[in-house]
Amino acid sequence: MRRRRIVAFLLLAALGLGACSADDRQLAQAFIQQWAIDHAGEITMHKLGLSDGDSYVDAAVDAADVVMKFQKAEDLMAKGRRNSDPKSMDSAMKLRPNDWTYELSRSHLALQLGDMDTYWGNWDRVGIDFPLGTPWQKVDKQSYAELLAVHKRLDTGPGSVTGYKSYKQCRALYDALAVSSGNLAGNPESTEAKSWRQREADCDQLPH
Amino acid sequence: MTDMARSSDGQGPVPPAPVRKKKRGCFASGCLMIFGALLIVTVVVGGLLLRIPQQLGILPSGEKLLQGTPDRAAAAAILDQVAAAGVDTTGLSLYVFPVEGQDGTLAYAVLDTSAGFHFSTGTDANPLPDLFGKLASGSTVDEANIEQVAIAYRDESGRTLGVLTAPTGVIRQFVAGEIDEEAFSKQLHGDVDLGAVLDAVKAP
Repeated sequence: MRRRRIVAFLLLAALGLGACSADDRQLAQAFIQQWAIDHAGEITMHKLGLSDGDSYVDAAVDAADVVMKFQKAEDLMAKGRRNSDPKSMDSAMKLRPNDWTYELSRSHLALQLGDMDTYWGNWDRVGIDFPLGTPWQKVDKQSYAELLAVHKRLDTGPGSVTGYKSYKQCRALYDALAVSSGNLAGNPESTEAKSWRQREADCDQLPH
Repeated sequence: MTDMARSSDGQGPVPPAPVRKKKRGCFASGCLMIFGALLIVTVVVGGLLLRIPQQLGILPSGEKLLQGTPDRAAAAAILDQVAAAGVDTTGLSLYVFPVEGQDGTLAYAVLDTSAGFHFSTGTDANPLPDLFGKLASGSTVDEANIEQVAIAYRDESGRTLGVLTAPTGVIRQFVAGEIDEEAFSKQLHGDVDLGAVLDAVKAP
């Protein structure tokens, strides 16, 4: 008897929740429908691709493709970061060519691979595409996390530089680590920054 | 010889051949102008529908306006705030984009019913304006300088029924009760797939 009551209660609860959810959905759809009736002229204007005169509205109305491309680019970039795959990263950057977070990741992958021209080229682009007035700490935060990952892949231990392809690669990595950690600490002479500078000196073992 | 020539059997005069009235032609009668005007209208409308002015950069396109780097951290923080306000964020994606030529940003939410989105139950308010309110509230919205909020709503098949958008200030007026739902609706802008909306309304 008790079991039956529980089953009945669960059924009613499920039906009740379902009904509520469907009602809310219908309310939302009815809201959109009513809005469409009231704004038929505006809809026609947008169908013809004409500007609303407000760039926020223009952007919002025309964002569907942007979001789709962005999602695709994010997936490609995630794959590139995960697998150290420059091709995936380059494909992502073709879809979102002005995204400084992509440029930063691509530059660090190039550093990891010893492709110094691509490293510096993408670093320059970060400087161009990073929006004015935004705290540079955002760059340092992402940069330091990625540089640590690059270091983990290349480092063969203190005093050893056998993991590096060139003197330039070695110096660039430790210099970037020292600068980013110093910036994040708010002190270029922080203990962490100093320890990276010490490792940077080890690069002198490489021919240059 | 008069103009009344005799017939070959000589039985009577042959009536003069009727002078064929020269037609004025399409050009002179103006139909060419009408045809030309129709052609121009067709080309203009076709060009607009194919978004050629946007491709040529004459009219603004979403791609150009939203080419900046999105604020992923702000989007994640706002989603957390929305979840904390009792909204199930399954099927709800949020993007915060800078808008070219503007100081502020656009928060663009996608409610994808086909990905499991459903409105939170238990509120008396209409769920769509209610969600606008939740997306426009909280400190992250100010920190990320969100000036405009947009909601795109997709049905069970993943079709976008439409996108509605309003300035953050207007949404906050609505949340504060300074304007009612009707006034809020009037201040919304957007675009709607009329076919999809009608289908959705017909569906049980």
